[in-house]
Amino acid sequence: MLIRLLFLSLYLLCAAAEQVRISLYEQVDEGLPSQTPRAEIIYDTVSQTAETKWAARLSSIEGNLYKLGLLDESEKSVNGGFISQAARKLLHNSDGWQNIHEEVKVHLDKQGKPWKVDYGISTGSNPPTVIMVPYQLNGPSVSLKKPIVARPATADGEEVPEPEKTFLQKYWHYLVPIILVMLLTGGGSEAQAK
Amino acid sequence: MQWHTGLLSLLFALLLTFYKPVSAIYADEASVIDFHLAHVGTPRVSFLHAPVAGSGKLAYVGTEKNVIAAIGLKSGDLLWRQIVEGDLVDAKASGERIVVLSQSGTNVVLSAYSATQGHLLWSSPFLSQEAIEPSVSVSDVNAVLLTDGGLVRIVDLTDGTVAASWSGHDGITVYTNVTHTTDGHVAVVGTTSNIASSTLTTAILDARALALSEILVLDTIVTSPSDVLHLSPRLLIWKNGETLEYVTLGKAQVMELQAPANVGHARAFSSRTGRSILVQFQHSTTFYTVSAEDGSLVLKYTIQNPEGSDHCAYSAAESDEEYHTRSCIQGDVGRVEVFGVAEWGVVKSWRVDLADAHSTGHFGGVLAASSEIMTAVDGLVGRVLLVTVDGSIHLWRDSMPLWTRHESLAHTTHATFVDLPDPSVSKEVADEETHEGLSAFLKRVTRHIGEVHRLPAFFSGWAARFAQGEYEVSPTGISAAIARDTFGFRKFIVTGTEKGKLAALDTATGKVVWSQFYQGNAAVGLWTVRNASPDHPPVVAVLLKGQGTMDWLELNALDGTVVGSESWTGSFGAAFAIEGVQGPEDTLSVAVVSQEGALKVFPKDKGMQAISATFTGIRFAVTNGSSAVQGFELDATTASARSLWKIDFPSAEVIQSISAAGANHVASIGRVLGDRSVMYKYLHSHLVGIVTTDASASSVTIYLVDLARGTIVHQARHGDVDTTKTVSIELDENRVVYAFWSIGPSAGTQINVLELYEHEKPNQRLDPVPLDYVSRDVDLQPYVVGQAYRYPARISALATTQTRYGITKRDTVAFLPDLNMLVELPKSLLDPRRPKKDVKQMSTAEKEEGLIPYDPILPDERRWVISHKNEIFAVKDIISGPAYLESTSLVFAFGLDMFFTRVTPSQSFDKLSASFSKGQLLLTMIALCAAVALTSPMVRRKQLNALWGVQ
Repeated sequence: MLIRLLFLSLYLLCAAAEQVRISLYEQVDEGLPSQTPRAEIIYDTVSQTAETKWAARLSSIEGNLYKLGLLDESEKSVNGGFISQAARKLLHNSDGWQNIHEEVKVHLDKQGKPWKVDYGISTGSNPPTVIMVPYQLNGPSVSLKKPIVARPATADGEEVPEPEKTFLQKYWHYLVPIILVMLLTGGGSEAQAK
Repeated sequence: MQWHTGLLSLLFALLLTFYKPVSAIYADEASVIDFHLAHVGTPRVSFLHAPVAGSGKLAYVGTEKNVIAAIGLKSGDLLWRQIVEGDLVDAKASGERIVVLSQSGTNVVLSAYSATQGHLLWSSPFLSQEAIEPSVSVSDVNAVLLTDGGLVRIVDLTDGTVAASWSGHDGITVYTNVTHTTDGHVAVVGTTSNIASSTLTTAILDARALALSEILVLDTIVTSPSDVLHLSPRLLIWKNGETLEYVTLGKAQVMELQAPANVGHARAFSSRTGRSILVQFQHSTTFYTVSAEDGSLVLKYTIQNPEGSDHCAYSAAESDEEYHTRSCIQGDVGRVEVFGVAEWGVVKSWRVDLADAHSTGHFGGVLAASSEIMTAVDGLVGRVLLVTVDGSIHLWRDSMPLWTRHESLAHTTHATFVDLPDPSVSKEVADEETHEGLSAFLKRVTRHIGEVHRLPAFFSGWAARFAQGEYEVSPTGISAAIARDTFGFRKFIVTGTEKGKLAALDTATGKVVWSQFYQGNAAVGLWTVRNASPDHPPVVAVLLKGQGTMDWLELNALDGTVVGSESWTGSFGAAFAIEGVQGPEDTLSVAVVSQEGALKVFPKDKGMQAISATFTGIRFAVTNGSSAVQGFELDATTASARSLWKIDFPSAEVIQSISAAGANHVASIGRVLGDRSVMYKYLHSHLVGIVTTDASASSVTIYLVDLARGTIVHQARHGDVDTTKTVSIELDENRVVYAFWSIGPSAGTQINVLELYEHEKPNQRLDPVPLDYVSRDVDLQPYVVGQAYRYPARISALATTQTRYGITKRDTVAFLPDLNMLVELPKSLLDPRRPKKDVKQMSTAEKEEGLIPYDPILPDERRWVISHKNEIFAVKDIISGPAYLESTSLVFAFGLDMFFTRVTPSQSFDKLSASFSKGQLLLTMIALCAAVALTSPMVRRKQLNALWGVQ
């Protein structure tokens, strides 16, 4: 029994330590993806928390499309989200990356592996945000009414008669006011009684 | 405050008692405001058969849409129809039964229907080992079924039970055809593979016990089973190199058929008895009869084929004598010839012109024919049932067309509403609007003088309208055959099919107004590119996809004439309208993108301008295989589309459908709550809903994707879903409705509704307020409210009612495939904000908002059925369009059947009902006037007397 418990706790420890490492690479226009990942996300599948280490951006990021995401199978392009130079200009009236807040959303499949990365920017100087979207059955479900429990039946199919209530159970609502009246009104004072 | 809430609750409860979400259609409107076209599809098998001995014949068809149906020969009306399970392989008649063979993978089903009533008599499933096409032969008493390439069963026609079986599996012979022979046996024909070549083998079996009489390996060499030309109850004919050979069934002696040199294109046809056989060669057709003595074929005569003999269909007609008919129709024109067997040559012939007969369009030649030749007082009379290449069915009695069934419409994939020209807006009126000041006034006066002659007609029309209460007729005094009615209920519906047929239906009559046929093409896009104006007719554009070719056609929607076209070679990737550049008389621009990213825009110049003018670029999405969606941006300078993003869904997930919100009128950008605060709607014009199913996890996922950026804005996943059944989805404004078949915790249809808002809190908007959801790279995350309901019937298609300004409530129209009904589900019940509490517990604000307490089950309310008595089969899609009246929405459902109706989700608030008693109102007004006129002198006198002090 003890050994079994030991194994179970060991298993739980191992399970708790299960982590997914996600590397996000950059790509500018049709160029090759960056050699080193821009971000490394370590995601704990049990606690569902993520820790991200960010590296500096590519030195040449002045292309039209800046992509950030997962490397595809061929490792020649990045599959993820993108922002365009036009959008950066629109948002900040400049071509630079100052005062830009990046947001990354990583969607996980049922094995807990990343399959899609969304990427966007907004105004702000906060450090980049990473949101993990785990696989979950999150669609609305029908809130069914509570089932009406039928009266139990005997093996022969006959209904089991309801157990008979006691006298108190049956007539307590008559008794309570009587007792109350008796308690509250009471008799006359002791002196009067004498 | 207390009494105020109590009173409100009481009022609310009272209101709920009177709650009537949708009223049923009125009896006098049924079949008047709607039409139903019941189709069967393009026939795969067609024959004429008398269901009861001695009675008239009916036409029976088994179709590509897996429908078996009986059609009356006099009227062309559908007498009965049934959808069979799996793919319909063959159908045959035996007395009062129609025997149907269908196959779905390794499942073979033989079923029998009553030939007169159409009800199922019996259905016998057979599980085969391999998915080899089965074959069936039917006699008066039994059916012989061949499956698995060698397993023969005798099936009793009375109850479908197997009486006997025989297996011909020997490892080297594959049997493909079976027939009853005239001498009471069953012959099974197959090919036996040897090391070097194949030979034909016939197995002759006893028809009762299926005991093998003999197996005859014929002394011949065939290259493939397709070399077998014909199997009749008497003979087997096949091609052996450059000669035709035949054998009398049951004998091993192979004989050569006397034939012209070239047998490459030979086709053979025989009568049901097999007494006479006709063989069509490349240049001539030869008739043979079977010799009664030795069963050999005797050449009777040979006649030359007409030009284009590839377009000929042959059929045999048996009455007292045997006749063969040849129907050769190329395009729409051709001839039907009747050949005698006893007599020599053509005994009767007549000209057929399908287009002239119906003045509705083009049919593309003949595909198959069935005929009946009767002897009348004045000679022979022939009735020929023709199936044309486009899929239509025609019946001709001699040279007289009797009817046409436009069965090609059963293959409709695209449909669009077309507004008809307004007769009250003439060219002169439009011209006046271009002038100003005095010249405009003078033009108007001149026009009015010119129109004075219409005044009497206008008054009589006005009076008739008043008297009859039929306000749909315009009292302009202008009689135009094709014109909009006052309320815009009458429209044309232009449809495109997967077979290249284009047709226009008039919603007033439900009849086909015109049709065009482009053989070998499939419609992949259909748009109303130009609305009707005094100068121009409405124009529809259709994009056709052929074998490596693409065609763009612009047609006058009123008569189907082609007003513009362009053809090019290339593949098809996507096609979509470029929104936002269309004026009232302007032309809609459409972009067509090939799979390689090459761009074409129609009209060229204006479309390219539109693309260049759009700051954010035109972006669209295309499915790439079964589990990926790719997003592109159009580049006007290079006339190409470049890839922006790609979503590869997890490998187990398969894309079922993609639906876009479309550009419909949005009347209000927010939803007003009970406390006068506003929840702002998340109105994203580039939002698409992608439905994927995962069979291994029994799950369905709805992804709402921003197609401009390729980001997943929201996803909703459900478990315990039957992924083999259709998942339908509908996006409209900020609302997503989808339905699927749930298998747990209790099986049934689950209909879900999601509403997307800008913010969780009322009166809060996205910061900053987006002018255009596309123009930024920020994730604009919506606040999603969702609720799920159970519905007591399966749902396979969804649509939202559209009205002119979008003010009227938007109900959801759903197709119920098991009940063959269309229902209109009220928006107030399919509301994700329905509170999950009792009426008494609801807050004042919730009550004031008009919310109805949550109930997990949407009722099976038959008042919501808008298709009333019609049984609508296999609807694939539903479209909705606005009428001229704001209250009314037009709904058109198509698939196998077509159904059109109009609905009023918020009741017809802007139109008096036909039953409104105007006479009574008028009489009351006259009576009141008379009373006032009578009493006023009396009152005046009384007042005067009062002033004078006179009593």
